[in-house]
Amino acid sequence: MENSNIIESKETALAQITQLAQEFDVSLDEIGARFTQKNNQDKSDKWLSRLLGYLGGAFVFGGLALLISMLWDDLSSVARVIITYGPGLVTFILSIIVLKDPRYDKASTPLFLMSAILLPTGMFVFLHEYAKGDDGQLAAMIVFGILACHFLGAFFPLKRTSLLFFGYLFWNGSIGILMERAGVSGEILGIILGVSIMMVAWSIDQTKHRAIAPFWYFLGSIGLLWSIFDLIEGISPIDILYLPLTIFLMLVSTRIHSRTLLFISTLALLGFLGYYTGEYFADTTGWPIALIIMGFMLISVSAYAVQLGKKIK
Amino acid sequence: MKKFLRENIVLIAGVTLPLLLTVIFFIATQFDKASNEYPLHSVIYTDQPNYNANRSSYQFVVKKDQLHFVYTASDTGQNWKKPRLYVFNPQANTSQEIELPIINESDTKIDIPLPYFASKTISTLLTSPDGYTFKSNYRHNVNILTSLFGGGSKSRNRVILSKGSSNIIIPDAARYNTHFIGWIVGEQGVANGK
Repeated sequence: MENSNIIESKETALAQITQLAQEFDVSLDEIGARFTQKNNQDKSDKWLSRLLGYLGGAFVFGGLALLISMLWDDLSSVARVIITYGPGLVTFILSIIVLKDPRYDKASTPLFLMSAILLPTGMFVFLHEYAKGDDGQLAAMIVFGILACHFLGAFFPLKRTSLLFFGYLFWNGSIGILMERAGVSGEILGIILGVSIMMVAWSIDQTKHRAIAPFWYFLGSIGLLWSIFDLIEGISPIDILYLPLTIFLMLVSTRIHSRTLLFISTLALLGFLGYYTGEYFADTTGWPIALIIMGFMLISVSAYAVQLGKKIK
Repeated sequence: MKKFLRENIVLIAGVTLPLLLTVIFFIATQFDKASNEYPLHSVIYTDQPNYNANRSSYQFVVKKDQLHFVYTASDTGQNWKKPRLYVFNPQANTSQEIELPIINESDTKIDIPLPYFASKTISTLLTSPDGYTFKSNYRHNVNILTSLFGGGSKSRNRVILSKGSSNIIIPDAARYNTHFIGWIVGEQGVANGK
């Protein structure tokens, strides 16, 4: 009953619009242009208010930091912990509270960001004031581990992408240090952490939190490719294996529909071609020819990358 | 449970992979430590910036198996920072700072044996009698991922006693400007002093 009324009133409105358009000789384009103009104005107003909002937030944040730094030497240990950890905890609680009200829903992400900065600061201050020893690495591992549990613990009931992002960031911070302390060498650490991040990024990509997946693909693939290159650089003939690896990752990127991975693997391939020609063909007579060959290869690779890019929807 | 594992196999593998590697490396390191002999001799080192045994106003010189502290006022007016001297005992895994003589402004030349080492025999050879070498272990393989999540610069620069695959980290040694002075190879008349 209600629906039929809506349709009826809509039909009436359209009939009136058509009648008015014919009466005043208003074209369809002119109506469309007026709508576009109105939309742009609305967007512009929103953009300005958002910018001023962010600017205001930055001033509040900057003012708080400045006040803390001015008072720092006069503060007791307890006060130092409260003044750094306190605002972090307050912003975290506030960001959960605003999630309950749809009007302030969007404020949760900047508030989570602020708490992600202030909470570790407060925890480091706590350790600095009360913990014995000067093992900053161990302190960082503990702080990031606790924060990973904190943010991921909040993510499971609240299902917010920003919580997942920060939780996973702290998780990697903690696990990276743990690996380093267990004696894992830099290259192996980079390879395993890179693969791990890419696998988790793929899993995130399958969920509604996919907005953060490209960032993790970017970080994981750079870490993986960089570490493998460090491992095999200058070792002939093993270093040529880098070529099929980058091509494989380009193909994987089409399979998992990630332009980020395609971009990084293409860059790695181009970089490797530069390294390889420079390393093995850079004698005085062969160098110009090597440059020409490399030029053709770059063109081929870029054309291939564009083709692959089109496959990614 | 089975369904959950099947549906999230990539996620689970991604999360457990670094943990698994950590456990493997931890076990391997412990096994390596257990199978290697720990260094027997304490090492003497200093942390003076720009320490140069030939140019610095402050020098540590071994004469007749004894460690001497030598100060010569600078001709060029260069103000050298007074060094600090440490002894690292690998058995106890601790470093001890050794007190150095006070230098007055009127002093132009000091050359005195350090009392702490009076009953000890010092060797200035780079390698200790049990085969360990004092090294600065700089790991240059740094990329965006290891920089972000690899534990910072402390993990890449450290001072170690090295023998084959066995690396003993000197925990409190400054990462830069740490210089080898010698090994305590024995007490006077007693071998293998620490």
